[in-house]
Amino acid sequence: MEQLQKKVQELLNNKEVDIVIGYTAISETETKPIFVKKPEDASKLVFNAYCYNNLATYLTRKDIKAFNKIGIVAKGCDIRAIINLITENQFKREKVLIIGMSCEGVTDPRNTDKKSIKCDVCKVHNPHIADIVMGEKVAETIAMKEKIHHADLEEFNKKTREEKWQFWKEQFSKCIRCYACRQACPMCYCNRCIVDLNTPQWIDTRSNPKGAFSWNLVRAYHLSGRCIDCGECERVCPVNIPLMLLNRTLQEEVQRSFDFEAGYDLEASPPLTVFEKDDEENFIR
Amino acid sequence: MADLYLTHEKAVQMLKDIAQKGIEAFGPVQKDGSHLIEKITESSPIDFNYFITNNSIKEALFPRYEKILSYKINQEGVEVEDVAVDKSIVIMGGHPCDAASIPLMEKLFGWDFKDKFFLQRRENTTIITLACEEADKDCFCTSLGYSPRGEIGSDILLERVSDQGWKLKLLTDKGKEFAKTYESYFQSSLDIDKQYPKLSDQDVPVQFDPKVVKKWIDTHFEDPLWEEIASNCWSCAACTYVCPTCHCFDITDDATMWSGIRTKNWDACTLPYFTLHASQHNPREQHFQRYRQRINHKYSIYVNLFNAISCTGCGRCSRACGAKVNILEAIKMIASAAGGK
Repeated sequence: MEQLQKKVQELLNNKEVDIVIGYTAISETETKPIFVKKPEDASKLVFNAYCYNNLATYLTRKDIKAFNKIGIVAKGCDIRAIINLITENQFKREKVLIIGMSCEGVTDPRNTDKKSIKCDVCKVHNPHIADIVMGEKVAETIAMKEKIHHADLEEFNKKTREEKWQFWKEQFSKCIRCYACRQACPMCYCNRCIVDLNTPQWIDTRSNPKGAFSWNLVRAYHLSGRCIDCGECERVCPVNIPLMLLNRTLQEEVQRSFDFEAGYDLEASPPLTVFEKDDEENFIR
Repeated sequence: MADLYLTHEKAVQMLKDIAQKGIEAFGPVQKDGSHLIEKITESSPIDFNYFITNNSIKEALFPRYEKILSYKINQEGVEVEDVAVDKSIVIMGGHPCDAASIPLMEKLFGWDFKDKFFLQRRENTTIITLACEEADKDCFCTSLGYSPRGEIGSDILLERVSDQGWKLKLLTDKGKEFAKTYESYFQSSLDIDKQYPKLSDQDVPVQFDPKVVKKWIDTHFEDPLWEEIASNCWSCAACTYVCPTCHCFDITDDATMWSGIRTKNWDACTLPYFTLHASQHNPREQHFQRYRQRINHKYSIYVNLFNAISCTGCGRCSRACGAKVNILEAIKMIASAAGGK
């Protein structure tokens, strides 16, 4: 922690960055995002197993984007978000100074006694792309070498099609359309989200079955091949809809079809955002 | 009237029976690890063991979406069909900070335009409230003059006397009427556990003076503190939708060429497009301007209009916020900037 604070202070002092997005403690088991602009405020920074927020979501906020050079404290999963934003041309690699944190995994936000489920299959406990790496190197596990299915998805996939339909019908009936999922998501950065377009109104804005299905499925499809498995949408959902089941389903589908996972490679764009001349599909020609 | 008591088991049965009768029953259900106030059906997993529900009871009177009229366009012109709001409603399971929100919202919906949807529902509704047995660091009802055992807005207050159930406090004629109608579910005695009540007003300390807060807000519309307070805000509507007093709505049409229905949907000042003009100018373009509006509306504008603060101190917005914006912290920062406590 001291190492982090010192480094950030130095970066701000030397004007290597204009702002650093990091975490500060609310209590022993809670943290919140903090924006450090003055070197003396670097002492407020912390990093621990309760640093849930994917801070990359702030990188596309107008007032933050206005800074020339942005430092960001990032876990491996957050770095995947940053990388994906770069491959989607949201900003240049030089715009961000990534302070990568070695991370053994965060706790489950709903049950701080255990580890978050996303960390079980995380391949990037040690930051894969960063300008500075902090913390002790985490020993490599089997999960880090080969992709293992998420336990919750495996369980879910045992259901029949009818059971799945029932399941989602019930889950989406809880949706209040607050868009916390969208606002927390680093990949949801559209200038104007399709649900906010109203001339014409493409998506029903009501939180009735039609509206809730339309919204949640549109969002899931839009994230396919782009979701970096940070789980923020699910964490912030005030009615606890297990949104990651949807996202992981599509994630695995994209991996099977295109052998692609978002956020690992600065040179590779998500398959559904690009068209190559030798693609076999010809509908676009 | 002799003392009346209600056990958990009977309460669950009562809610389900009420729902069966065609009355809209709202109660607490346990789903995916948390509790929500929902419309009760035969299969609802009703459960009364919770600290606070994620959402408030406002949904019963001010639904997330509701049809307000339907229309048809034909050769004679436009044919409009009104919507009747005549169902009886029973809400059970909110806390005093929920019940207190209903008279607050009534001021708005009964203001210059009388919103029959809210007002008639209000008329048809019996509110049964559970006195609080727990508070957390986000609770601050006492700072706004409310109480964890408060009676405002409730028809019946249930005060816990043991793990098994509660003693009824009949507060209004509606409450007495309800007790008579459903007397078979109540009993005249229950083993009393001395450890209850577990919570009193003193357990929820007063943390600021709302008058001081209002004065600062009224004189500091432009102040860097707003940016600091809301720096983390990512502009979703979680806070407003779980809030028992937030009441903004949007009107939309779901229509084909010749017919359609018009609906009233929840909307929120914290969402980026809430104030977007047709010209594309947005007077509240930034996140902190929108959060300022939320606080301003609750702690100043509402006071000017109705002489009441539009907040009951339930703390739901703070608990729901994934970005960790905390209303109590925000108000305390304002109070300390104003030199108050």
